[in-house]
Amino acid sequence: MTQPLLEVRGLGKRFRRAGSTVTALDGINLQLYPGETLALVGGSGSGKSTLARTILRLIEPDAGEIRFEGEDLLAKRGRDLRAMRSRLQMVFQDPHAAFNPRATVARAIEDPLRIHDVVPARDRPRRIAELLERVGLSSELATRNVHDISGGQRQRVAIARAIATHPRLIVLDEAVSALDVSVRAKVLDLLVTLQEQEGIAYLFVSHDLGVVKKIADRVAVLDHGRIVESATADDLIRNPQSDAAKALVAATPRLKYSPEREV
Amino acid sequence: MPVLRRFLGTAEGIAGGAILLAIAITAVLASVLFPGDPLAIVAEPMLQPFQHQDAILGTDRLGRDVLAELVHGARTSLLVGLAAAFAAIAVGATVGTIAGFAGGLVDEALMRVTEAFQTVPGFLLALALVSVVGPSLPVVVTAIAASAWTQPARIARAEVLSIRERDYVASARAIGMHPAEIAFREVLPNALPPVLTLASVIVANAILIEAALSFLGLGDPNIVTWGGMIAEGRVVLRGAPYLSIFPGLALVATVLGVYLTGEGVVEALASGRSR
Ligand SMILES: Nc1ncnc2c1ncn2[C@@H]1O[C@H](COP(=O)(O)OP(=O)(O)OP(=O)(O)O)[C@@H](O)[C@H]1O
Ligand SMILES: [Mg+2]
Repeated sequence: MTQPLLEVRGLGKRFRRAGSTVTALDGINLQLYPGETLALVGGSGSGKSTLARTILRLIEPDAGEIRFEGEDLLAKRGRDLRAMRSRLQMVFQDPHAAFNPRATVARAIEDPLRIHDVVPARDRPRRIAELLERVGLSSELATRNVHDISGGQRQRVAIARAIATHPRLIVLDEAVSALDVSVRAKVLDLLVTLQEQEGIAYLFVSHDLGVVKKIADRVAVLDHGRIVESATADDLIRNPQSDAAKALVAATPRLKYSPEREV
Repeated sequence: MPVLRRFLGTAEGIAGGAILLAIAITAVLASVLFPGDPLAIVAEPMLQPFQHQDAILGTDRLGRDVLAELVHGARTSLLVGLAAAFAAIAVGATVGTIAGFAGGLVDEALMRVTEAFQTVPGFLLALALVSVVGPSLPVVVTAIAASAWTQPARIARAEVLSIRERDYVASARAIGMHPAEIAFREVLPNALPPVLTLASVIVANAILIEAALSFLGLGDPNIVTWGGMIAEGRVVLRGAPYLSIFPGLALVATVLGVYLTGEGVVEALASGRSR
């Protein structure tokens, strides 16, 4: 069996706020293999975003271990950590909040190219145009402000920014939740295509089983900071075991009445 | 430019803008309008204003043209005001950004320093610095900036504390951007607008402090300043009050112009945002 790309063991995180403590993550274990999509589902406040951001080293955990490409991710600091980030990327839920209000499309995509020296400076404009085309956007968009394009276009720019450094894993935190249904389907198709072409693994955070069913190989259900169930998407929808999974299935009625319908 | 149109739609904007523009044009054209040294003696001393063609506003105790001095003094006032405000905002925004972004001990240390500066009245600090280092234009500007950077620093820090929690900062970290670049390229430009609303107050204050320093004889002695003119005129206040009144009026007009312009800008920006 191949080595997991990402391996999380005993991950714990508590937030202390105004005297009380919230246990956001409680002994999380998970493994993700190259080119695979693992969905992370759970109700609001179950700890999905905390887990996603902890794996990205945007939040520091209190306990546990994260191994990425066999290396101890939590031991990395400074320059090492920044260099490693080219292989581990993230797409945020709200494409509006995830871009600097002053950024142009070109700048948003140029940043990772420049920081990780992916291509020489003179080739960057061409690479930006290529990346835009790969995510299904016109290269004429490059000069526009990121906040002057549509939500769907913006999320495609976020994807272009994420794939610019040829990452092996992209963590997507509710990356399609803010999009209209038709736009959402197209962005999901794009993600699937990119995965086929580049073999990128996805950690796909969502609370929508309809979306998860379409993209994920396996699903882990999070409840109060713990993984309470782990199964293939179809098994989970057909035969949920935990209360959290049952609630999620019940909350997605179109799954019950027409399980085969595409979303 | 919708902001400019809204700015000119406010009463403060029109009045302040007109006053400031007039003074700024005068200052820029000073050496065209009155070529040569404004401190040169051109006529008999103590000529009354509005009676002589070549010294419309009269002459001072030494026979220098009051109007020429006023016009050149405008240049000093505006220059010192703008330079000091620029320096104060640049230093304040940088310190505030580093404090807010770095957090922890760095933040503690920088904020203690800021508080220390704040407890000393600004004018006294400037006075002390100039007396120690000696009066020259750069020293005066530095001294005024040293007393004015604390407010921009506090406002920048508060703004940075909220901005650093935004997703786009997390996104910049996620792509591996260096913390210094995140602080100064992603965060600082977005923290600036509220800091810039302080600009007019700082400029007005700087102009007044410069005048006060010059009045006390601590201005650059080789340059005409309104404060210096008022001090000169004070000696003969009874016989020739105009020698103090003209620079005094110029000072009031400039400070008022700066202040009203600032109000107009704030109002224009606010009405733009609420639309
Ligand atoms: N910075 C923080 N400070 C304090 N508590 C936090 C912080 N971030 C998250 N929490 C708490 O941790 C728990 C998990 O939050 P998290 O955002 O990970 O949930 P989530 O599953 O992503 O929810 P949602 O579906 O609403 O996005 C919640 O109880 C939340 O209130
Ligand atoms: Mg979340």
